[in-house]
Amino acid sequence: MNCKKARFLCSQLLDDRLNERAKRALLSHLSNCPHCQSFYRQAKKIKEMTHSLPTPELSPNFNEVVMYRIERSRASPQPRFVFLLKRKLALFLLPLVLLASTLIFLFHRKPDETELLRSYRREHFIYTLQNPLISADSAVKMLLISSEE
Amino acid sequence: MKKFVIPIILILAFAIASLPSDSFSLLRQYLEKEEKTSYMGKQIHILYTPKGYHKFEVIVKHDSSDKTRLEFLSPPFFSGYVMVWDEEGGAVIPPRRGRMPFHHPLPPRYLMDIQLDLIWKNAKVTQLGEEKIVGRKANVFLIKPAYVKGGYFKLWVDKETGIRLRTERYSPSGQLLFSLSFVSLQLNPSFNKREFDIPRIGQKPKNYSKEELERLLRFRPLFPTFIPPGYKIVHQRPFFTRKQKGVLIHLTDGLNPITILETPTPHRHPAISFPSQPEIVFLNIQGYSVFLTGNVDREVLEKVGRSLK
Repeated sequence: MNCKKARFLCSQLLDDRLNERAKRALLSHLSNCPHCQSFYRQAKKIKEMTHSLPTPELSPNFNEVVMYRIERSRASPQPRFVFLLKRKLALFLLPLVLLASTLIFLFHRKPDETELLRSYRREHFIYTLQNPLISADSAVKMLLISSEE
Repeated sequence: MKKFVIPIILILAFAIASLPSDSFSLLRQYLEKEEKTSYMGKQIHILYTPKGYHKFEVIVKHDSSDKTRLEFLSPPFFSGYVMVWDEEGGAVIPPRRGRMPFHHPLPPRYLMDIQLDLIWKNAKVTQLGEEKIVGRKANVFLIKPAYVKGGYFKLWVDKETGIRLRTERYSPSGQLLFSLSFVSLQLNPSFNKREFDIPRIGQKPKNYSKEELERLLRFRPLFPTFIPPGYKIVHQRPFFTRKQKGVLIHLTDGLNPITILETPTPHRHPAISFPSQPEIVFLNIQGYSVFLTGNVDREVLEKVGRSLK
């Protein structure tokens, strides 16, 4: 038996919940391990102290209150998903909001007029470039427009 | 009868010979000369905006086989960029650390001849006089659209070589939109041919028929039933952005091109404005959003837009 298991069994020994075989094995370990002996002593002391504490008095209408609450929960049972929502509301809503805003952005986006008009003007000047009177000028303008994109 | 034939012929010959030299044919002569002259010069380009102006400084290299190279010196934002092009197209070549990471295609100039023809038909050319620019004598021409209230040009054309030493473009209301001027010029310099090598990227834009457009876009495009006098539809093609599709129709009189964009996507009047750009007219025609732009009077754009069917 190792110390970890022995310490786990100590609390059961104090509650007198161990069978004979486990009790013998634990006592044999305790006789050889000073650390576990100390642990057992402390646990025993704590148990004695808690036993010496006065037992709290229940309020006179304790039973009535408990029964009333039970009756109320039976009358309007709370669905499980509401409970989950309440518990992890933020975690549940955050992806939902993100998803909704993405969908709105994708499907309700206005036609991009700036892009359309830029391309349109560019086309106009590419065409203007073919005018023999202003070809060099249009070349400059085209560069200007292209660099804006 | 024979008595009269010879004097009539003589009178006609005299009348033809004594006609004043036509300024338009002079301009044609100069513009054609430009293609045959190689030159290198420093050019200043000033683009006026409602809030001020942008100033570009460029070295222009033009060889006799009509290849052009622009080397940008300023503003710092464009410093280091190079543009090279010829009849078949061209490219913007960025500097190593430029903002545009890849070579950017310039369109071919296959419409140049069509536009030149339209200019001859639709432009009203007046010779304003002579001026000296960069120490050279230049003829000054005023080129106005003959039939439509649109923007006009002033050109300073070198008398000897036909090179355009200065170009000014005005709005229909007479506002100066840009000025492009040589500040130094060197004729017949020696060029390194490699400087005019053009990386071939992009494709020549195709002109689409109405049926092709309808099949590609799955909607029936509208076409203008009113075309301003002197104008001609020269190009139409589908137009795609990331989320939208439409049709682009280009028409021109050779001076002031008009571009129409139609899209079935509903739009409102554009709230954004681009300084230094011609205004955009927005119309809702038969459920289509229609945009029109060009350096012409607003009424002309609206009339073209409302005639779409």
